[in-house]
Amino acid sequence: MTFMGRTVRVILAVVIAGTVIVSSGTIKAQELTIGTRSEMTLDPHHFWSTPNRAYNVQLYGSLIRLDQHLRPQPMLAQSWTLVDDTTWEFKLAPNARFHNDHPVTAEDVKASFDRALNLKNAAASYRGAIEGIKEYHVVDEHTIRFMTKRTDPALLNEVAQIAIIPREIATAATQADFISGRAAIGAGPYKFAEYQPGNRLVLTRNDGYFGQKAKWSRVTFRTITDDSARVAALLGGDVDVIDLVPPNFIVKIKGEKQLQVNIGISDRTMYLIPDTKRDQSPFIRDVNGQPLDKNPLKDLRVRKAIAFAIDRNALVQKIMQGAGQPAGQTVAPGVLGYAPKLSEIPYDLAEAKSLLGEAGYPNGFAMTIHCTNDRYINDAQICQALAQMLARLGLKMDVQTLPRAVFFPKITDHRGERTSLALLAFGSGTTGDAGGVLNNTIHSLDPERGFGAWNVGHYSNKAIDDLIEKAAVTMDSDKRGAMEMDAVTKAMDDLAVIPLFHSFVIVGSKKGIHYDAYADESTLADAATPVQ
Amino acid sequence: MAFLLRRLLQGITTLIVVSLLIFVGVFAIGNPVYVLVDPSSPPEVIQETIRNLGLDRPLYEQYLRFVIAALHGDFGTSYVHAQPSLLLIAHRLPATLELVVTSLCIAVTIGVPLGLVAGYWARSGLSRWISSLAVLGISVPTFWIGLVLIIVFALDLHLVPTGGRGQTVTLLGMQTSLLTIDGLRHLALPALTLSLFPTALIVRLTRAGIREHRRMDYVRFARAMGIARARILLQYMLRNILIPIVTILGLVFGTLIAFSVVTESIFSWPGMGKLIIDSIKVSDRPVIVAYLLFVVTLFLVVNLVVDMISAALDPRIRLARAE
Repeated sequence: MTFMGRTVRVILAVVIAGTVIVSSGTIKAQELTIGTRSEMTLDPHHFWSTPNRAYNVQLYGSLIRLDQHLRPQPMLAQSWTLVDDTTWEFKLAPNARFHNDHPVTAEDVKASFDRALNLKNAAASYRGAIEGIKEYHVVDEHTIRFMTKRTDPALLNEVAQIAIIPREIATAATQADFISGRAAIGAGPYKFAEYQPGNRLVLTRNDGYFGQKAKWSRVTFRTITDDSARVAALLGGDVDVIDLVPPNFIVKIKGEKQLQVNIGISDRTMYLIPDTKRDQSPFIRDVNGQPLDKNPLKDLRVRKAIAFAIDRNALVQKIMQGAGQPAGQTVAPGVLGYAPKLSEIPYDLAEAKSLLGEAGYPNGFAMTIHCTNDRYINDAQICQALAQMLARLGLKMDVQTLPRAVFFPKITDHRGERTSLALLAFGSGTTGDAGGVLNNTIHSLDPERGFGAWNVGHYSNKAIDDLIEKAAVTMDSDKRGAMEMDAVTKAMDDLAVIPLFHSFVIVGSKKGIHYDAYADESTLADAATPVQ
Repeated sequence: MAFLLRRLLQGITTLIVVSLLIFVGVFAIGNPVYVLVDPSSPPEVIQETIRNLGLDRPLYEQYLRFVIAALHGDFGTSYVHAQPSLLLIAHRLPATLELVVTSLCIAVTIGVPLGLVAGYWARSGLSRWISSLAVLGISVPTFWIGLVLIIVFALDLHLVPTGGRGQTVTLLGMQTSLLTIDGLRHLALPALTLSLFPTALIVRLTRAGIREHRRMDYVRFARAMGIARARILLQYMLRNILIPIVTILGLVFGTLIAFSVVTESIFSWPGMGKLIIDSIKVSDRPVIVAYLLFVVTLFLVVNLVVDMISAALDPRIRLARAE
């Protein structure tokens, strides 16, 4: 009997212990699984992309981190001052430590920037992120100075792109060391735990982090590149959060009781680029297929007709399933330099037709629109819809959708054929203000001075160029914002490009997890917060 | 020996021709740097990157550089993953092998018995059912079956996860998920999806073979001699019809390894198929080239092995004549 009694007691004890473990659900609740579109390149200086930068800032950390709206916030640098117009001084947080318990010093910062600038074999080099920096030197253990080539208001955002790693790793580690995790040592709020190529990356909370501690004890990033598979993983409860939800799934996710959709406005705006430079555009013909004697897109009235013929609300509602905001400019709302007075371009087909007639094309003309089919959400469908809308205006439209590997070399070959009308999106991510959009897409093409690299319609307007150049060297952000606003307004009045809509960032999550969407579509564990 | 040597020479010639074709094709797609690079990079950085990677050189020079490096065992470093492309493929190979071998095992265990039944009792209702299912298995696209299986077994019944590879253990230096419950749960759906086509193929081949051999003299004699039906079927007929099946299995094995792309993407299975599709999406040229060459080599090896197995199964086949 006593033996039986003891057995029962043991079983009871085990059951009770089990209950305690189960009921202490907080341990479980601190673990997060994210289904993500993109795998991390563990070498922090090899491949510059938004997803990689987001991974880097969690694992390695950077001097500055960018918040939800891309505004610079202190991270490893606790403060910074402008010594003169081109010299910035950063003070490192004195208690910042790497995962191997070494303190973060100015020498480490210097070595990390050296590596980012000089890494061999980098196809998307971080050099592009910090091109404005002329040199940098260590002042003392916790102070480093950056000298810019010219007055550079975007320096903080540039510095935010570079991951900081210990000097001994920056100078000696091979890429294999990062993959194995041996060299995956940084100063970020999360630590490396496990990496399975193509499958998952596991990070754990860095309890020694000097700043605000990470929200989750353990985060698993599952690489699920296929959109439907990512949604299925959320629907099936395999993951807690998924990034980059395709708009056609919003309704489906909202319909599930235990799931929710988190939406934020992105820094990316979709727009059309007309060929405003050449006298004869390669993809424009008259309605009978004969060459035209001039390029209709050089006429503002024709550009206006095209702008008015596009029903932006229909685009956003029907094709983007509501995941977008009709736009009147290519600068994203909330970004410095956004001109609030520029409202969405109205849809007015009658006005568009009369403008086209006034310009001398009452019977329209034939034109090809070029788009990607694998770069932006629903890009091919947007392209088709645009062609139909322009057909209603009386243009004879032909649609060419291309894979991005073909599309981008074609449109950026400034001496080549390029396009007559192309669909593109551009984000303000790197500079955090309208400067990036203006310098790259509106300013006349000027490779020597670093302007207009993405001005693929070769639009050129001296007055706007002057404004952009002045804004680019104005440090006072209020003044700069006003100038940028002025430049944006002038460019939109002249329809240098034809804005369509501002994209949304869409993140799906389980109910009980709130996700603050980042404007540049960074996917961060700490953007997810458990709600009680 | 002479046979092997000749096959080797043939293989090398094939590799050279194919590598040229691949290179011209990949070159025609355009400069990958424009796809990879962040759009706000200044043009001079882009130009310098292109120079550093040697992508500004004419096609023949790029090809020669590639060949020389390849002869030294260097097939280029992935632009995206910062790893040697061959190593990257090697890392993903075990996952794909595991998936393909499991599917083929399923295909053989289900396909051969069903084919035998359907072939020997060809007029029965059961046989018709099996044949129709086999037609269905061959004609229904994998991605559709995969999605249906996910919806039924993962989303509605919650029996298995929707995708990914589960817990793995190291066996003989290779990661395998065949030995853990979690691993098997993750493997079940993708393996089943991938096995449908080969199962259907094997059913049809076995059925056709059995029907053909049933009428042959040796079977009639055997039956006349009173040998048990099961023994005729399993010992005499099966052995004879196995040769075409092994040949096809070899080809299917190669095809599945090389092109399990669809299944792997639907189920986020971290194998080579997912690697190549993701690499194509971002123009990761070194990985694309290395992968295609790897696949060609794989097919050469598989064909050779199939020829040798056929010879072992049927001594009448002489290797020298197998060409």
